[in-house]
Amino acid sequence: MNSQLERIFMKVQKPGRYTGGELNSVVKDPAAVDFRFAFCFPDLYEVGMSHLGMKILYSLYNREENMWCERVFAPDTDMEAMMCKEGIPLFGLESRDPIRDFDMVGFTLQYEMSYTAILNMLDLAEIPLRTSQRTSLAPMIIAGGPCACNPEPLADFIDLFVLGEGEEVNLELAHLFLQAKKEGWSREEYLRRACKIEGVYVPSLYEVSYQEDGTIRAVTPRDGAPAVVHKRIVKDLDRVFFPDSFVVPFLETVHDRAVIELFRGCIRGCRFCQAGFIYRPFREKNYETLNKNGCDLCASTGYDEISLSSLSTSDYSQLEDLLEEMLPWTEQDKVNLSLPSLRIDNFSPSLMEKITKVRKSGLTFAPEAGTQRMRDVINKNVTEEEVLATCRTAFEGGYTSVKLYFMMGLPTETKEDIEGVVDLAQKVVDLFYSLPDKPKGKGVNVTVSLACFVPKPFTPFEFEPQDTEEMLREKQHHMVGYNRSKKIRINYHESQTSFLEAVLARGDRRLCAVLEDAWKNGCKLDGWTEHFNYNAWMAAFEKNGVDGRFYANRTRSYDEVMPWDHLDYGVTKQFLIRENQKAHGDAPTPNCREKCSGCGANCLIGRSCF
Amino acid sequence: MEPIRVFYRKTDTAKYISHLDINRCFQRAMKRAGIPLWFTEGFNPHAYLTFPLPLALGYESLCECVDFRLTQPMEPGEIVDRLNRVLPMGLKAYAAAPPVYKAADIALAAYTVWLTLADTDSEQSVRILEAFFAQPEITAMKRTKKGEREISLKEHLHGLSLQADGDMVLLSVQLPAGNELNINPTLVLDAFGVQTGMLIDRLAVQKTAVLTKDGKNFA
Repeated sequence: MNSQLERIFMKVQKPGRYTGGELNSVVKDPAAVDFRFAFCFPDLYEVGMSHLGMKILYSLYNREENMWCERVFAPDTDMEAMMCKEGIPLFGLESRDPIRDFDMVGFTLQYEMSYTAILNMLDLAEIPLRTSQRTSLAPMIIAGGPCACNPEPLADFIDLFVLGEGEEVNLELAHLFLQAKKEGWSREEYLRRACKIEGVYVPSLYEVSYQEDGTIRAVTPRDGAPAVVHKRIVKDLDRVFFPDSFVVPFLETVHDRAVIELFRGCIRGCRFCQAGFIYRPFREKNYETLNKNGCDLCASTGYDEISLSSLSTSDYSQLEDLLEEMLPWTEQDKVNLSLPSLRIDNFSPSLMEKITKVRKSGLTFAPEAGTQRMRDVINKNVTEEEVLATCRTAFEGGYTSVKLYFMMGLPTETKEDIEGVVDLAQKVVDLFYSLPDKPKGKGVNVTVSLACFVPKPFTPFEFEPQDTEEMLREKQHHMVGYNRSKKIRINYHESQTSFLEAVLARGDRRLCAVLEDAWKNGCKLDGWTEHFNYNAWMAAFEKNGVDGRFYANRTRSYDEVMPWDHLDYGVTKQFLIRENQKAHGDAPTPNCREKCSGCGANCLIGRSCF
Repeated sequence: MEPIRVFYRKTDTAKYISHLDINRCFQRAMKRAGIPLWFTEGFNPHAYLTFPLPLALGYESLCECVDFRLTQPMEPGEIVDRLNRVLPMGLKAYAAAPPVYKAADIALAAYTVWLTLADTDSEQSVRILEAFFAQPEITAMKRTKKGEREISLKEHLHGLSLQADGDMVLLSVQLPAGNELNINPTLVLDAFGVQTGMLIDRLAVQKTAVLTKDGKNFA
């Protein structure tokens, strides 16, 4: 296969995506390992190689002497055509062996629009798509990641899902698999045993029945599977495994840098934000651990940038300590610090001073909504004064361009809320010109980036309808027409993609057939505008008699059985209902540090969060 | 601020590292190796590395080099050792010294090419290629920044030799290299393909030497 591959590497764009051999990639002797794992990222190399979760699990497996984890990405269309023509099945980058011969194949579910890529990768690997079509113990097809919180649209294809954090449960599954191999279990036997591991959901062990109106009647476990599957978390982040080296890609990837993880969870509880709920409870890493993580990574990779990763960087309680620790050596080694996800309300001048020591570029903030009422509804506890004060700090610090993230189509949204977005952007422009000590000789640029709201499971908005495509398009046009300033640029997302996201995010098992047909119709890299084919999706819905609007645009009652109600992510449904009611009363909820709102997630650590 | 030229080999999977990417790859390697690399001064300091003669994607080379400057002196042997401890698979430094020639002194590069023609054995392929190269005139279309132009190849093929090597054809040739005129073996073989309609099935190219106008090894 190797000489065949060498021949096609010369004929495709960016062969470095498929060759392997990068610094710190791990090559073992296949004869000397008992367990081979294919970590599959259902998107192109450049996207997948930017993902921290893969780096963690890659090192976690490869630290085990008898295990070998390899990376697999979705090939681009030119490579795929070559592989099909030459009869080369999907292979692991490290060994170039076909992954259909591996013990376990794991997919990470980062976003809904990658689901067709999963089917395509299984097909390219020559692995039967459906769980029911697979008969041997290996390869076992598993999946995890944020979208595993409602994995039902993938239930027919994936043997088991890992809910929550993977650092512990992945190795438990691997060890169980080694036992299965030794004792000659069937795949059914393995799955029956695996479902007893906390955090493991085996969809084939659950029967779903439906009401006449199309909603779910009940989800019934069988063969001793637990009625409710609880997600797994790591209790102590200072003791959790963290890699001291990353695979360093040759070609440029989306994020090509060292990453340290400040904390998991979020104290904010913005009601649209799935990550803010499913990663709870809030747990921080100590700044000394983090400094060491960063130091080790830079030494082993040679990276000149470290990203401080979390859902809200400035909520890290030891941020100033961490920066104090890191600034001396990063400045000396010319390593840039990147602080994404800064919040508007606690972006202090002293923090500003610390980050501007390193590099000056554009700043990005997310007010998310244009009016105070709307921000109260979504619980984005940020005021207009804070937005403007932050921009003032930024402008006075020499910045001239600001990017503001907003959403449209939020629950209870009115025309005033839409216009409020432009009004706020205009106030930022006016503020710039009102400053006596504004940066000289430069104009201001305010970019408004507008996403369509997608209601997600395990959020207080899981009950809410998404605006129809027509409504969203109308709002987009209204906003663009309402803007009068050349200093404001408005970018908005394609509403068709958001619609499909909404369908898949809250979908059930009846979407499996739709997904398969969409893939058969040619959908495989839906996250890429140039490959996205809405009509192919619509044809798949029609063929299966499924109406996407049932999933995207319908209001759920509080007592409806959700497709994910048998999965437990810590936050209780009662809490989500309470928050939903507060949203409809325009009432915000204080952040977790100020006051515990009793979401239920702290039962996972068995103590209060703070 | 001492200038240093490091010579290295680029083989195996490393041949798929593009010219743009090799720069970043070496910057990171220097960092890991703790080599006191000189950075540009100014608003956005960055490591200053130059590659006297770019290598095409997919070619192996036994004679690549990269130029940089040091902020503190370091023994050339030490630089080579340190780099080899941290370079990725397929990249191996073998010498370091202050530069003797300027990049503009590069005139020729020597290549070894292994190839097969589709559905043709190696003996037969050699005869077909010999006939092609024996023509009084050979032209090729070369893409440049200013667009495509036709160039004459014949007078630029130096020391050409062809022989069967197992099931492959082994072709050795020296071609113009450097700023003024750069011709690589792919251009020559594309011209062969266009004229004869024959398909090259397997192809491996290795750069074996870089020469100055006086025929000396670039050092």
